[in-house]
Amino acid sequence: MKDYISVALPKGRLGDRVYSMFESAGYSCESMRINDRRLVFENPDAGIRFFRVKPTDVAIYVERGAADIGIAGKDVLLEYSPDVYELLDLKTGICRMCVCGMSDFRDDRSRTLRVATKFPNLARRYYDERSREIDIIKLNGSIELAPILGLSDVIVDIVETGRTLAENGLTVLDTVLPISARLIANKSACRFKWDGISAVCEKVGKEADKQ
Amino acid sequence: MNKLLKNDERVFFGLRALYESYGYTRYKVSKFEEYDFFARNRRIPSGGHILTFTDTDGRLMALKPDVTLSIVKNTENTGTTRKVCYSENVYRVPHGGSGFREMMQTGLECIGVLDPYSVGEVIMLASESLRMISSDYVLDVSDPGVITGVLNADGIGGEEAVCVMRAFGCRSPHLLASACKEAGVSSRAEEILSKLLEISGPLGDAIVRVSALSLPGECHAPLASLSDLYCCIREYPVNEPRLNFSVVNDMDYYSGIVFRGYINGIASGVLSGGRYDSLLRNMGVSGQAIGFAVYLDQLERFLLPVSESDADVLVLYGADTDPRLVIRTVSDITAGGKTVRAQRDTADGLSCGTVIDLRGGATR
Repeated sequence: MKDYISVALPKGRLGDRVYSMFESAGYSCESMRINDRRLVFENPDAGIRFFRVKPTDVAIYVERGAADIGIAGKDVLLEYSPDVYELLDLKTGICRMCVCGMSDFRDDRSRTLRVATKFPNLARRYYDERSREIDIIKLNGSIELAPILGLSDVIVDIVETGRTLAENGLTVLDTVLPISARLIANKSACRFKWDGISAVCEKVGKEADKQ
Repeated sequence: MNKLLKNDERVFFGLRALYESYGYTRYKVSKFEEYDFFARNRRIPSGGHILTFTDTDGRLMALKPDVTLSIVKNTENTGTTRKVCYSENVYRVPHGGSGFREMMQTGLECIGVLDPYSVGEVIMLASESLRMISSDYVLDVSDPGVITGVLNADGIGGEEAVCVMRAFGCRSPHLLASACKEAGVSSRAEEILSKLLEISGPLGDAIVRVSALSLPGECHAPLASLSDLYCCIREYPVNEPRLNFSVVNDMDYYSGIVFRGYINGIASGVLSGGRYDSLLRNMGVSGQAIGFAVYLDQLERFLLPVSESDADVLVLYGADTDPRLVIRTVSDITAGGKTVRAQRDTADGLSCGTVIDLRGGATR
């Protein structure tokens, strides 16, 4: 039986962009381009199998060995600290994790700062380094709404172009860290499928360098 | 007897017999320790989480998150070498987990005076332990002293060295490049570190490749300990370990040679160990130490196939069936080496290979 390299791709634009890199690197899978409800796609000739999963779940699939490799944003890796190898910076999906607030925001250090975010661990680490007392408000979407409605003082969220922020009267107050997509790998799979995984890394890495 | 044991039980008893055959005496530690003991030694592989309770006399107690600390605590400074093995439950929050779990560990410790033989023996036993679980295994060894040697020669230590080690742990060339840049590592040292990150392969070959890198003097001692290990381990009929500098384990716990074992088909490492001389010193015990643990909880799904049926044969009987007939039928089946379940009236919810229906025809 052929030893497949299984790849967990994030659903959405980033996954499409990264799949194009795999395709250019010789790891195409025609069925990926068919718009149906399938979740698993295989190319036996190339020895590759793709899954599309929720972006925040990619690292779990890889850490638990359901996928040999996967594509995850640096934000997800820092938030969940999965026990995986981070083999490549794909130099795509580039954005920033930022602290944002209303344009007229003034930081009152005498009060606990209310921070709304999808990334509580990352936000806590950022403010711990600054010895700032905070109250984390964990949200799952529409984070920008929180300071507008007075739910939080600031948000810690991903900023790509900054247009949504500007349209809602918000501004970037500080950059927490730059973010891009990373190719991650299961540690055990790297022991037993290293030839296949390193070949994928080399070829996809060359495509990433063209970005 | 061996046939009656399930795979996981066979491994459990097999490992214990293996360690005892090399003179590692069985060591039992209590399930609880005073919390203070672990609080003083926070550098334990439990992520800082300790499950506590208040004993009847008011003392704050902890369920053991680690076995080695308890063994070291009870080691006297007699200068003699102790070889012990254990099988114990520990209570930890698994990596990425959100609650405590009871985890079964078996392993061994060699504490006292270590020499190339004793280190080689422990690593051979680690290799044998993996082989007992599956023939498709890999034992990776490393000595992070080679990496810190390169950094020390460049005047890099502390938090900056930790960032470089983290990049090695992620086997990540881009993280290594940015950590080197942040730390101000010289281009010569960065080049050596990049090559060390790439080196992975059978220990003997890999040592030759590392030796060719013209390493600074600080790296010679750790490299010599890896060479000593290779000289010893090649004498045993076990798979050659592989050198892989991404094995960094817990640097607060281990110092010197570290190793990690993987089984094809299990997503994470199933065996972890290394030298912990500095931990010993911190606890006031003189000498050196090496040991490892096998995480038996990781093996459950690998060793125990999903049960396809509740029994080979289902014997159905009714209210009127003569119990002696049921007894004879069941006895005949078990004597034939099959498993049997005798059940009154209904087979609902049961999955059995064949069914013998004694209802109706038989009388008391």
